[in-house]
Amino acid sequence: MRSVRIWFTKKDTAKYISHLDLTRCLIRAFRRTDIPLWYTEGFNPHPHLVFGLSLPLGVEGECEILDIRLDDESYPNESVISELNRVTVPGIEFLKIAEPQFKPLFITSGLYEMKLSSNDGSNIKDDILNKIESKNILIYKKTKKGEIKEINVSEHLTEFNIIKSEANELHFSFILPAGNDFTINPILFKDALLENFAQENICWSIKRNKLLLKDGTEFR
Amino acid sequence: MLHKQIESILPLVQKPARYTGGELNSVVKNKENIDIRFAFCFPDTYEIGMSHLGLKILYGLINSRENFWCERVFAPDCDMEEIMRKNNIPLFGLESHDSLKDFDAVGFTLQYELSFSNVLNMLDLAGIPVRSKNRGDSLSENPIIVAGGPCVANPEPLADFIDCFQIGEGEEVMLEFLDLLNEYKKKKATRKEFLIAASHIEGIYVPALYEVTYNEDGTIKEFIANDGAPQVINKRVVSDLDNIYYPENFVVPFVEVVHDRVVHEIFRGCIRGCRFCQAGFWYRPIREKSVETISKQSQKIACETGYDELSLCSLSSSDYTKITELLESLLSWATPQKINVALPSLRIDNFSDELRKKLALVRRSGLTFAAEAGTQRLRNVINKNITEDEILGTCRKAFQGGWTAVKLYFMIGLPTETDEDVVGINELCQKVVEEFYSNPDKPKGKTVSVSAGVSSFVPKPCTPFQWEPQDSREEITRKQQLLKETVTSKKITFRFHTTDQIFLEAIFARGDRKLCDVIELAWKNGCTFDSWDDKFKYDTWIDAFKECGIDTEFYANRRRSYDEILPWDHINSGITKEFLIRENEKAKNAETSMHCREQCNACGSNKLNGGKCDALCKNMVH
Ligand code: SF4
Repeated sequence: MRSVRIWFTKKDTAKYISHLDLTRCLIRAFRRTDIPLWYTEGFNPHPHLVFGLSLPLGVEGECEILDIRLDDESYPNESVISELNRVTVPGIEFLKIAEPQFKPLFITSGLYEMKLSSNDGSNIKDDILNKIESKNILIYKKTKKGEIKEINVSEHLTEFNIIKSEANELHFSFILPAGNDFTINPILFKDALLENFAQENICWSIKRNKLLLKDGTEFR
Repeated sequence: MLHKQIESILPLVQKPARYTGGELNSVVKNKENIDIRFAFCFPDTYEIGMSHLGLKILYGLINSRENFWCERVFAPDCDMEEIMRKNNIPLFGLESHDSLKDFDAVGFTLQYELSFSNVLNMLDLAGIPVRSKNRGDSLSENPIIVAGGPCVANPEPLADFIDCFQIGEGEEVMLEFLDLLNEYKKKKATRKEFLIAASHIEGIYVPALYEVTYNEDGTIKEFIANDGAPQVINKRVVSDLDNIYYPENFVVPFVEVVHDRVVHEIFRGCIRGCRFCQAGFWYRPIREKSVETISKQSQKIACETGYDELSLCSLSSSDYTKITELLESLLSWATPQKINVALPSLRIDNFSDELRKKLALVRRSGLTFAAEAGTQRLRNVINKNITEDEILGTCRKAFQGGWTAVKLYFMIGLPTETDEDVVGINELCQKVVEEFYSNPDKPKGKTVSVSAGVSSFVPKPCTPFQWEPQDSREEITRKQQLLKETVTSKKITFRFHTTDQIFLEAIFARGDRKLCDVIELAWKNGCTFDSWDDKFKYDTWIDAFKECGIDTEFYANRRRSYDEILPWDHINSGITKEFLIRENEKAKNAETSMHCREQCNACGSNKLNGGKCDALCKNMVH
């Protein structure tokens, strides 16, 4: 048995696949290949799949991570990728494979890219940039005990960089906490930025480009 | 790529993956190369519609033709519908996200009567006029609306909304129909010209070409065919299941749907002849698919989908002549590939211990019996050939094998039923409980649970009971109450179906064209998803009947005479009226009929299949 880490994208329509559904979808993908996936022993054998960090529904991923175990140690790495790409669905593309270096619990943050635009041409840029300036972007999170906790995103937001800026369109990148212990859902960040606009009038897309370790280097 | 407008609403709805398309094996073609675009609509949610085998077959069939493109459409859930209406987003096909208006034909499958209001709602959501007569003169103005499925055994309640009904099995008639549409579209014919031509395809029923007149008492006086349309429309029957189209793959949904596995229909029709069962007669004659074909095709689909479960379907799988051979053939490749083989509706006592063990390994979901009635007399009336000894005997074996739960299904309100029959339901359940305790090696410390699902009888067209009244709602409620009061054991639980929906089902099942107005009005007043308990609006329906001056009891609770012209008399299912009357008379005397492998009862269905019936040729009684 051999553990490998696979990087894949989750884009376009695939961003609407929930995490639970993704697991089922990938298991079925493996079953359509000749990859010798390792199954647990026992009455109800199932394959062993571990994800780096799940993506919120609707957010795209450029560098999603999946750890699997291969039964046949000699099965070549390249074949895993080519076999999976042969049977995959639109939006999910398998990029590379390597031996895992770190455990997923060491992931602490994510590098994101967000594009916001208004369908009706109205000016959203000024409002959003004012919010960022104010250093007071509040979101509300339910704790495990069911209490509502207020969080100021500005206290956690780093590396905010504008990529493109027009009155009705804003495109930027940023880093937010993402990991086992503490995560800020970028969709809640987006909602807070857009609280003054009707949801149906806004087109948005959020992409997670990288998962990062505590020291800021890429998780691998 | 999704249209921008759809993209902006998807994050606002529950389970958006139901509206994106892009699933494995879904078919996207280049519009430029397509002659005919067809939208296959299932008038219920994605989760239910995607479980439907007929959709998978016709989707694959139409798409197997290079110049045709078939897309899927389901009823959007309430949150999605609200947002679509608010933002003027028309109902769209999942593959192209184009509005249904852009299609040449839109087809609905009618699996149950309580989906009728959804058909209207989906047309309206697409911006297509709900009434056929308002769809203009040219073929380009609006798509042709077709409908098929078992409900077309009596299509009349939808006669004003559907341009063409496809009666019977679709594998052949669908392509004939689309080829004709292609031809008429090319020569820029009018809708009317096309519809008249379509009415000459065997199995196509164009309701607008017929006129119905009524007697004073509301019954039908005359049914008149115009424009050369046939007086009787014959059901289409596929003759050879081994050589008819079957898909090589299924679309694999992202979200969890009701039946998410490889399914294979092993034969069509049913040899049993239970007198209440419409499917049992409608899908006759009996046609079996060979072990080799089933095994080969299933393996291919498993390979193309990655499913880890295979389920056989038919009306009564244990009646497949080579069931043991089939299971052995399937298990020979399924087990090494870690694929479970599931068998619904099967009598397990026919199998060897070895085979039973293999199956038991893969599925221990529980023991179920469709006993249908509580006493032997009433089971004879409905021709349900299962005896108390058989039920108890199978339970005994199962209990010895360690099972502790049994599910039984019953119906109340069956013809000739007395209170004794109703109470008999509990008595039978009680005997099952006793059977458990009389087992000397019953597992220590375990108890038995018997759960009984009790629905109510709905008389259906194309059955020997098509003339029978349904019990009034009060009577059904009284019988349910009576049954509840007789239960003394805590090991037995009853689940009852709501009487309101069953009443509506009975009205539609044997309804005529006068009901079209009611359906339209009730839908306008907000009725959709009538099969969903939490969305069903009984009072709105009743108000609609009142406002249209329709007496519900005339449809649900009235006994028809044998010589009355029934609304569906022009639909020829193959089953003759003489046969149905014979069976109805036998029912009155609690006389059973033999099943088709013992003796052919001359139901007539084989005539539509060139005289062939697989049950028939197997024992050469005729
Ligand atoms: S033709 Fe005879 S054997 Fe065939 S289904 Fe009818 S009754 Fe049964």
